[in-house]
Amino acid sequence: MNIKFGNRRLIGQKRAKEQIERMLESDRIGHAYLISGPSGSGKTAFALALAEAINGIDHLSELGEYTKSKKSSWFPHPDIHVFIPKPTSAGIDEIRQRLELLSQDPYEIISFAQRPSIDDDGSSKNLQVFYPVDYFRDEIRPAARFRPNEGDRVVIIMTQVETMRKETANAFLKLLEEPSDRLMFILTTESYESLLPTITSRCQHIPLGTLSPKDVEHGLIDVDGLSADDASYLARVSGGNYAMTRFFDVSRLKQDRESIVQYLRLAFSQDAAELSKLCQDWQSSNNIEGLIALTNLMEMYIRDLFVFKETSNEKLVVNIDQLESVKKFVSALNDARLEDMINEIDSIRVMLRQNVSAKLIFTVLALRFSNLMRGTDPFIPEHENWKHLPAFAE
Amino acid sequence: MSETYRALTRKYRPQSFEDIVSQEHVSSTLMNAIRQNRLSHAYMFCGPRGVGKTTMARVLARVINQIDSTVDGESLNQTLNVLEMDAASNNKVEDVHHLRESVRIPPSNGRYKVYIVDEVHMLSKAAFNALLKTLEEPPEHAIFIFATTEPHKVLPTILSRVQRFDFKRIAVDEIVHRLRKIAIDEEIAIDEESLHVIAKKADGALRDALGLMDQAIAFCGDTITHKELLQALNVVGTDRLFQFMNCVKEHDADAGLELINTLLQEGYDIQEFLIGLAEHLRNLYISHHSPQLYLVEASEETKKKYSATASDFSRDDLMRMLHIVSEAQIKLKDASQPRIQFEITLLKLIHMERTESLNKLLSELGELKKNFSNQPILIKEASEAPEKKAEEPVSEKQEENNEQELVEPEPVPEIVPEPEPVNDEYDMGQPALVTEITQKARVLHFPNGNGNSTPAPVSEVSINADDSPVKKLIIEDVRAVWDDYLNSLNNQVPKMLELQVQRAKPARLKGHELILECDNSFAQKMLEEQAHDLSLRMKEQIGVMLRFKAEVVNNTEKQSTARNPYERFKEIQEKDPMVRELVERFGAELEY
Repeated sequence: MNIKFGNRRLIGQKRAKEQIERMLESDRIGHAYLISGPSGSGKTAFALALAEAINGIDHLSELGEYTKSKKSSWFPHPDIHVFIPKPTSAGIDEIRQRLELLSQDPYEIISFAQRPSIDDDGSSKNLQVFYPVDYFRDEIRPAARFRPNEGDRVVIIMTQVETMRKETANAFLKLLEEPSDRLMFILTTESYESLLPTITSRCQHIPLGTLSPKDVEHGLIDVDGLSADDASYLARVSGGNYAMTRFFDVSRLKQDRESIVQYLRLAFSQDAAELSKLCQDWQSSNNIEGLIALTNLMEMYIRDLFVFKETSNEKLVVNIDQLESVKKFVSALNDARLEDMINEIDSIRVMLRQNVSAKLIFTVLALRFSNLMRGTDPFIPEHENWKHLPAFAE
Repeated sequence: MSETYRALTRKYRPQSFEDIVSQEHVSSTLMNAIRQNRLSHAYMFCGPRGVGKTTMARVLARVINQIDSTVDGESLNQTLNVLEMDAASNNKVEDVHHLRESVRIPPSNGRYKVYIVDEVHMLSKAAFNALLKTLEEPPEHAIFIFATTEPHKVLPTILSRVQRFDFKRIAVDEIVHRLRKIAIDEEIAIDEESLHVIAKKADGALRDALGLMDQAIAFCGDTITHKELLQALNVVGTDRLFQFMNCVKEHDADAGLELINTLLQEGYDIQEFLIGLAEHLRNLYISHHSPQLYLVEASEETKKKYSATASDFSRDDLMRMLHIVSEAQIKLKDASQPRIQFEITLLKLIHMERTESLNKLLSELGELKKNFSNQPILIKEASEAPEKKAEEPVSEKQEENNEQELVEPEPVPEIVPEPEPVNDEYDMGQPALVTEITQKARVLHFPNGNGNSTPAPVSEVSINADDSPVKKLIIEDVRAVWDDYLNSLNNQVPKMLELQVQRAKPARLKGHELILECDNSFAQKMLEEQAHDLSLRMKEQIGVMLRFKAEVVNNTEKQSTARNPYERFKEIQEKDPMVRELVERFGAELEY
């Protein structure tokens, strides 16, 4: 089978594409694959395209003579089942709706956590998603019992398997190791390391890399019809996350970045009034995922400072629109302890996830930054750190 | 698409004891048991993933029921006498009840009914307990085989009823041997070095190794070359690592970042790179000492390169780099933007001060010390003996100012009129007036923050002053009644306090002040807080009101911290025969 895998839609990932192409060619198709990679690099899209290629659907990849199915995509095909982790409250209908979106574009963001409501993008509800045991027992396992209907194999795709609870994962092991002859699994995950070793040991691993800015840029221009200028800017700040970048509004993004620079400035000058206003603003307009995204932006900016300080190479700076402020920052604050600042950001993410008030967290962070930016230790009494960051215990 | 293709892991699942790789300690025991007809009614197989637990269970079931090899391992379950189930999906009490019912029914043909329960650690506690009775005295014909990766989650009452076998990870050579055999069977050409790469990456699990082999065959076809294999398995080649170490040597952050940028865009995994780098550093470390070069698993040419590069770094530096890398490996696992952490780690490596420059720095520091001779010592005292400081607030103030000047050479007038209490620091709503300098001042205040907690028992002083001495007491009097005194404390004071008093020793008597020696500041604090209560009880014994004062005696502590953990461990061994016995018999080691 000599095909161009995913040539219609999949972006970048030359290495992984080649791996899959050769695998299809050799005809040695295993019973379980695990696709891992950073978020937005196209894991789900790859899984879908692989399922289609195996069942001969001419949709995401151009199959030519190998087309065996008359179905237009994976979505209506009876032998391809896609499962996504869900919050306990969500029903099958809601999942169906999301899959329909996914069928329109394989890079669509459909996770309940990142997009709590598909109609209202401004929604800031917090949803926890996972694979509950009964979801597995009532939905996924029955799907594995079917014989292929019209295709070659029944393909079960499960996304974000790192959200799988231990109980579910253990119950899954037997099925994953020895599925019936014409059944295969394709799992996707963002963190290969956090999966049970018993799961990873049963799968063949297909790692995806971070997309290069060039790939993202091409994708944005060719598929999403962005102007070259916007695309090149977005690609640069995307951090290889194509799926997210498509939804970015350039002006909004720039605004976010500016507010982060503003935050750092306020932290330095310790302007409590302005700071608390900004923090309040952040808290009220974001859900947890949004706040995490903010910390990511902040981390990225500090990383830029770090890299620029070390190398003075403008090419390595991600936030190219903030280059001026980066330069100024680096020249003005020579003994800023950037590494410690990044560590601080790292430590607050846990707290954000544990529902500590974002306003308090960011205020405290600013106080610590003000010390770190001057190269001094932040003042945290060791035996009374609860006073410093309320409601948090390690 | 071929219907016959089956993953190697499934195709080559062993069907007899002889086929099972490694684990001889288990298979020979089992074979002997079968030969002598001494089968136990319950076995537990524990060990990491992919070492053959389920396989061993199936082979055992097959052998004792004399199922011939035409029956596939995966369809053993369909024979009447073998029941394979996974505990993760049947983890409830009802499932166990069901199992108990079916255990009673004797096998239809054959001698035994074998129950293979996989992932047994997932059974609920209630289910475990429901199983206990059956497990202890099952009917003659029933044999249970449990398999698990996490034996520590299994109830001890279960563990004591089974024969436990621990499976070990499979050595690289054994995996290579097995892979070579399979390669011949599958008619695949593969070179020795590639086999080693697969075996090393599999990390002791044969299933992983076969999975990787499958992946390599799918990628490369019938002939597997080393270069293509690295690509297929996403392993970073050594030349890249040498390149990177060169950047580290040259302190060239620019080139280093460029290098990893290209690596990442080629689809290499960050963790994979770090694993490779850690091994690379380890190899460099070993290469420092040429007689040990055989420990490096690489070709001759690469070894030469290792020895050449090794001389660029000192052993200490390599050790530290190794630390940084392995720390990063752990940290990256739950980083939300692993890439940034990764870059920071690499920058850390590149900018790490080498030993030579550190030595220079140290000597400079020594110079500095001479110039400001007593400063560092003062800081030490402040933290070690806070109570002393509290008594001399005047001198403390001065010292602090001295310190201030040390940190910031130019005169800073703002500090002196800074009367704010230390405690209400970091009030969230503090106005923007706090300047950097006051911050610093507060940071410096901190060491004495503890000092507040040592209240001089002023009230007691006044009480005791009235209590005129009847007779001159000496410390021996106190020591004489000390045991009685301890007994009298029993059940009268909180247990915690009693323990602390027991551990303290009456040291000397200074007028009416009894000075107790204790070994840590916690005990000291506790004793001083309860001093009044304690002295009242002392009065009952000795008839005189004594003031209690505790002192930390830390010369023993100092000694022990000065020694390294190993020496301390040795000393503990000498002191305690039990520990020594543990070390001698079981090879107990220090874990810290």
